[in-house]
Amino acid sequence: MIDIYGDSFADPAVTIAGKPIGYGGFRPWHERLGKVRNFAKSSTGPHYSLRELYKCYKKYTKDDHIIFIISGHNRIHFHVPEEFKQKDSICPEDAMWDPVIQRITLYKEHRKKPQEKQKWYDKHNQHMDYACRTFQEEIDTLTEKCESFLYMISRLQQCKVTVFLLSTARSYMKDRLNDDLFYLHNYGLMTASNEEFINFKQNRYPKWELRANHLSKENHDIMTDIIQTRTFKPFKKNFVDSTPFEQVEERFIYD
Amino acid sequence: MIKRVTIYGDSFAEPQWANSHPTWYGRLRDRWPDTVNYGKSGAGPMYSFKQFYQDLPKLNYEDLIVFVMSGAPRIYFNIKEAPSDDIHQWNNNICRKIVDKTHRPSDHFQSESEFDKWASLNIDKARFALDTFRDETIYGNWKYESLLYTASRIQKCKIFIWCLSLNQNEMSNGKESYIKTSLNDDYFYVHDESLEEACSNEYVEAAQEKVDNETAKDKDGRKRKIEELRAERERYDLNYRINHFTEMNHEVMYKQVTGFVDGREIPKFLKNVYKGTYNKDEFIYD
Repeated sequence: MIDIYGDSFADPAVTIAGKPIGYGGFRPWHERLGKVRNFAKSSTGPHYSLRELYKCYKKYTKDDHIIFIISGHNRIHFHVPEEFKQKDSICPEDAMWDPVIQRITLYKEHRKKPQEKQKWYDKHNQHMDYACRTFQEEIDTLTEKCESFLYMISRLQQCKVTVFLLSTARSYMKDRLNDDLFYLHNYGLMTASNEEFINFKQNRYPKWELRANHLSKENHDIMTDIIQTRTFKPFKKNFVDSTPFEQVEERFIYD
Repeated sequence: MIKRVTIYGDSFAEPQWANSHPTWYGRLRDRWPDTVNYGKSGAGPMYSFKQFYQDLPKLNYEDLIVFVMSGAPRIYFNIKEAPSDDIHQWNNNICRKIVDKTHRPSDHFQSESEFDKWASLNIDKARFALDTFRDETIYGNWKYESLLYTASRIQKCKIFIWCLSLNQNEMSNGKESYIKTSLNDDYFYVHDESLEEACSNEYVEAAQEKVDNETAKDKDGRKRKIEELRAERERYDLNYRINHFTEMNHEVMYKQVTGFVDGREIPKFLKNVYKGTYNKDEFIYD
């Protein structure tokens, strides 16, 4: 069995305005691997993905393969109390710790903030703030612990583990412990996604995402190849015209 | 060649204990003068790792890390109201009184002045924090020991771990190990006896003969009875042992660590070596 954990780089249900995006004419990498269980969810971080992994990891054996995308360590899956649980509009990761102003802020979206999410934030932002201050060091080191735990699972369960990171800057292990069972791809997916754009550094961030899981077909091919061969292969760069993506925003938005 | 020793842990490593006999960490310091002991009574790994995260990048083949892996549910709450010197001890009170088995602050904690002050300001927020980080707490030790293992591979330092509890059971409550002894080698070692059991096993089975006579044919019954009597001993013991161990087992602990470093045999804890100290009017069965 192949199990996939991660964020929008692996989410099988990425949509814009209700329609799957970028699926024109090719299958994304996570649909080319045969039978998989895909637990990836847009916007989430390792805090959420680990919760899913905890339910399964002791059942893995030598016949299994875990593919884990470690996304932003500060995407916290905050507690949503019962009174708000039925509201689909609440994504707990939308409340984020801002290290500059040292407090919790609600994620700025292009669309209007749903009322329920705002209510949840207004009622609990001090609680979130307290949670982040209490667990600050644990949050800051979540990437290191996550990759170490994945490495440990590969040792004890003897299953294959393939790890990608959004950014390798926080990686402790990098590719230093790669072997037959454990493979960490030492190149950030966010960098790979950005570098697809022609002259990315000059043009900076486009406004809208039009690609499936933030990658073009060429890099879905490479991603598939990396997972199947578990050897390093560089992502393709500098080949996507960013004009259709509207270059008006300062930040590139990864859902 | 080891040049530095750093110790992390809870009361099993706390250096501020009354020092009436040599301790395992004192003997380590005698051998390696560059020894730092961050042990704090009541501390959980969350407290210990605050320091370890800072130390990690500097570790190399000259470092020996000795870790007492205590209970992950001992949360190190953010406490602004406490004077800095008392912050840990106060935190210890909070940990023990508001965190129940499901890792949720309980409504039925005992009131204390400092604690009251903290609780009136923070109890709802503390509950929310634990609800948010519940799984991170329950599975905390498994990630911590994983990080220690990868650290031993990458930094090439030696890491010795004692766990409070090795196996998952009703009482382990987040203290058990995932790795156990399965990856022990020259750089990484998890001792195969839990400290909680070793500490409890020090009590002599003085009533053994009595138990044997009563339950000679019932093996399970005999074992259960001995455990009951031992638990009773522990409950009433004034517990004058330093770091919960007699001097003899402090010696064993020292030899366990040095056995790992020197590649020698690692001895087991001694059992049935401690009678306890009791108030006359409270208890004694033997």
